[in-house]
Amino acid sequence: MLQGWVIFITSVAYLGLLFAIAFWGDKRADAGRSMLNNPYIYALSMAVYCTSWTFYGSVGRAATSGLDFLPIYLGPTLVLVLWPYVLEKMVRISAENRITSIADFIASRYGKSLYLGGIVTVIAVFGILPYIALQLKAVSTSFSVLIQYPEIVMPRHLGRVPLFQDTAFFVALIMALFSILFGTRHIDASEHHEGMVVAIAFESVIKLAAFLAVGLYVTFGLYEGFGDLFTQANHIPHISELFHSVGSQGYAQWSTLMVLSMFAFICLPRQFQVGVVENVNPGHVRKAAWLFPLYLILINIFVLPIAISGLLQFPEGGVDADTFVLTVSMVNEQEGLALFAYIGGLSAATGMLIVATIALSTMVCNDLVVPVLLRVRWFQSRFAGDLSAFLLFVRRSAILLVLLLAYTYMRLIGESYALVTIGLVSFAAAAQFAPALMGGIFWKGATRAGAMTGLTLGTLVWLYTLVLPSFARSGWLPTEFIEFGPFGIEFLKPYALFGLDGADELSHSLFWSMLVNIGAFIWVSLLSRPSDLEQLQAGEFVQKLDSPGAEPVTVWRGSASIGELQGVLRRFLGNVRARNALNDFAQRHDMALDPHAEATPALVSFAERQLAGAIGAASAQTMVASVTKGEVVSTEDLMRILDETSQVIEYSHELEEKSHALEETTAELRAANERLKELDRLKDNFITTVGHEFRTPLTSIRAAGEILSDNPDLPEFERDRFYSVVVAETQRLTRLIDQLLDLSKMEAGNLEWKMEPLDLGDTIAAAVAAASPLAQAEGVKMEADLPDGLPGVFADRDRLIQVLVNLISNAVKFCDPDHGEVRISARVSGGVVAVDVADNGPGVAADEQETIFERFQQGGGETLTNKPKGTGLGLAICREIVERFGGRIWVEPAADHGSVFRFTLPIMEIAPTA
Amino acid sequence: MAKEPANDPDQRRAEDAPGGGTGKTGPLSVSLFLFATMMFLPPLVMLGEGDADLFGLPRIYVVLFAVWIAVVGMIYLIAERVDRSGPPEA
Repeated sequence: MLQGWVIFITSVAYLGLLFAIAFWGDKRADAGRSMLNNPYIYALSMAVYCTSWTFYGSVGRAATSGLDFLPIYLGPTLVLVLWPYVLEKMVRISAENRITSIADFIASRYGKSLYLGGIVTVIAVFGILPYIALQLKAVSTSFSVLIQYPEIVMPRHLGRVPLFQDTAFFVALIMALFSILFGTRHIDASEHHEGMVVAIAFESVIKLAAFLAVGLYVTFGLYEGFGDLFTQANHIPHISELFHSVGSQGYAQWSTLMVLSMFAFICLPRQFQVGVVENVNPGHVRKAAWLFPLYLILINIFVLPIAISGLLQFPEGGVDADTFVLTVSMVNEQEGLALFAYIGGLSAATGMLIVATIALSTMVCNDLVVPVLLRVRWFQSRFAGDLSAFLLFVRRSAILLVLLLAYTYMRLIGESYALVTIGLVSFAAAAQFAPALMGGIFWKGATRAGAMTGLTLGTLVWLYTLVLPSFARSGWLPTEFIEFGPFGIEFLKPYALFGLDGADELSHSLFWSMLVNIGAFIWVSLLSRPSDLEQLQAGEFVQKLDSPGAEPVTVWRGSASIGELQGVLRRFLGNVRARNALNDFAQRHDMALDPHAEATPALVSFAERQLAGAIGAASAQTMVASVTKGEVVSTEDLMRILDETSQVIEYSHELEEKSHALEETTAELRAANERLKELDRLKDNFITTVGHEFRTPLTSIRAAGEILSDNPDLPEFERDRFYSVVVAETQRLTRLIDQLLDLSKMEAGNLEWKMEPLDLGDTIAAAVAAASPLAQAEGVKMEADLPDGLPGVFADRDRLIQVLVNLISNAVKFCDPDHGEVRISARVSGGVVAVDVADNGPGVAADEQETIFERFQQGGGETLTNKPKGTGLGLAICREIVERFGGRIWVEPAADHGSVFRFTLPIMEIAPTA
Repeated sequence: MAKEPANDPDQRRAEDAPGGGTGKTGPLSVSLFLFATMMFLPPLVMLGEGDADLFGLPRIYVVLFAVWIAVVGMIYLIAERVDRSGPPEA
């Protein structure tokens, strides 16, 4: 079934489908229903990270060096753990500054530097070209392997494929067409390529599905699950050693790969393109932060099983491990699966080709070609008109050029490299951007000179320690300088610089290039002075998270007419776009567009941002400056803007804190004042009440005394009666004062308590005995109903009796005058013992059940003068005592008639003597 | 050419919520980063090495993927469950 034409038709059909999807995506977007506003599409598009290097190369690497393939995917996971600080921040900065590529980002951060953007672009193109070539090679290899079915022949035994029979050549051309169609639709490169992103997301699904299909077939079709596979592999020592250690190539390499992939994940132009430029909503980063690593886990879980099964199926070797994904299916005559795997590999390769070429072409156009052309005088005079078509032409040519260069490179390097090695060289090149990029968004003091020096030196070291030796190994350069050093200078050997020996080539190169890069970046930054524009941009980039959503600072102080600005915009954006953009702005700011009027600074900034989307920040700045008279921004102005802003921010922050503190203090004061008022009212009440309470007995005493002194000849019995009134009232007065003192001592905590274990039954009996004369005198029937074996309590005996007597005498006073009955009972319930004193009097009104326990509050209303029956302190004292013993006292209506005063006491753990 | 909302940077700016770097998300993600980095680098990653098997699979294979899945799970919790109770994104 797998004839050449079947494979060919399937490939063409797949690529056709890709075009259709991209076309559909763009149509939807044009209709206002963009697919991009979806975090899942965003996360899937990030999976362009997994190229054919993942699809074929991971298995190859696993088959030769075991788990070493894994750190490449752990690194991105680690970067995404820090998503709020890294990716989301970059997305926000880029959205505001209309960043079009990583070169633009770095150039913009360091004062919109033309040179820096150019350097980044050159490094990126030369660093990434081999990587693009690698994708083409994978397409070519997989096709030539598959077409030999049922034979399994490695391409290196087939000889050179002629140009017009090479699949890679056609794929390169088709991909160029795709990128031109869907990657250069807008002149504004900061806008989104909906169709392209949707197609990339689709490709991510296909390659994952294909890889999982092969993995599942191998694990559960060829073998009986993971256990079986690993058990069989365990019998063969050279396979077994692959998956028991991470350090088969040295721990340095393991760690290096992890660091390298962390850098690559944010610095590779294609990752920057899908992760930052194509992002439509910073909120999507949050979801992608766990979705994308999940994708990586899925696509990696079967790498080792496929590698092992390849080694088991081809014990005699001779089959490239890089082709195991295909050949394992082929050797088992799974034609459909092999074809699916081939399509998966194709999708992995094409996805990378598309995004990488679009990203590179934007960089080449905006950061290399346009800046140069704008400086060339004859160009300026010759192309004075609309340049937007010319810009698109440059980008399209760049796409074609990049792909053809990559193809040439692939034809040149032949079959000598394993896939993974080429990818790593590219990773190491992209990693050179990391210090300038990360330093740029976290360190305000980073300067253009520092970034430029670090980047250049780091790249030179990369070139010398990684690229040149690999050229030498390919036979393009003499190999002597690897073995003996250039001109025989030993300590300059590229694989053992300054005698640093023992590490693998990659770790060695990364160590030296990063040392030089970061070192130069920091030192030169510290020693150089940033320009005004740099300082401003540094503030914009570093503080992004502090003030999200803030308008970019307007720094244009020069003057330009609206007409001139319109002219510049028209040249680069085209007539329609320029007019739309300006009308938009005019509408939002409610202003007229008089061509002769002077443009406001905000309008100049707006125009610059619009231009930046089309030609990059650096060129945009140059172009706007060319029509603006006067200084762009003076140092004093800049300093004032920065100072004012930071001062105002600080000042308002302080104000906010102070007003907050004031509010708190006010609330506290108000509460304290309320409390004081309440206390004052209580004190007044208390004095009034005590005064009343004292006056009643005093009035009686004074009246009796006056009668006695005015009538010396009163009969004996009359005189005795008055004397007894005086004595009784004095006693009452004394009692009142005693109780008052008692209560205040209790409340102040000055009373001495003789706490001891008590037999509750005895104590109640004693109290009943003490109160029974009173009951008899009033003709009240008193009953005590005490069960046997009442528990012990821990209390002061005298005080407890005081409580009981008080309650009993209250009950006697208030019970039914004719058939008075008082019942005392006690029972144990739930850890406490409850004592009831019940009467059959009128009961306590519901609203008085609480207040009755307060001082001078007696039952039966507010009439203070007419209540000879008590002091009004008894129940207050009772409550104080009971609560002191850890109990509670309250009153409730009796079942039929009267009221029940009930108090509880905690039971003592061990009863006293029985 | 009509601009759809998602394409207009000014619109995007207006939709921006005050970032993931607020509240607990920032400190949590930094601590997870340190934890994950330590787990994936020597010397800790070396502890999983050796000939012993776990559930019939090579130990280091199981350990690496288990830690990886755990880390992704924690990213999920931090990203989707922390700070989500705050005011809706304006």
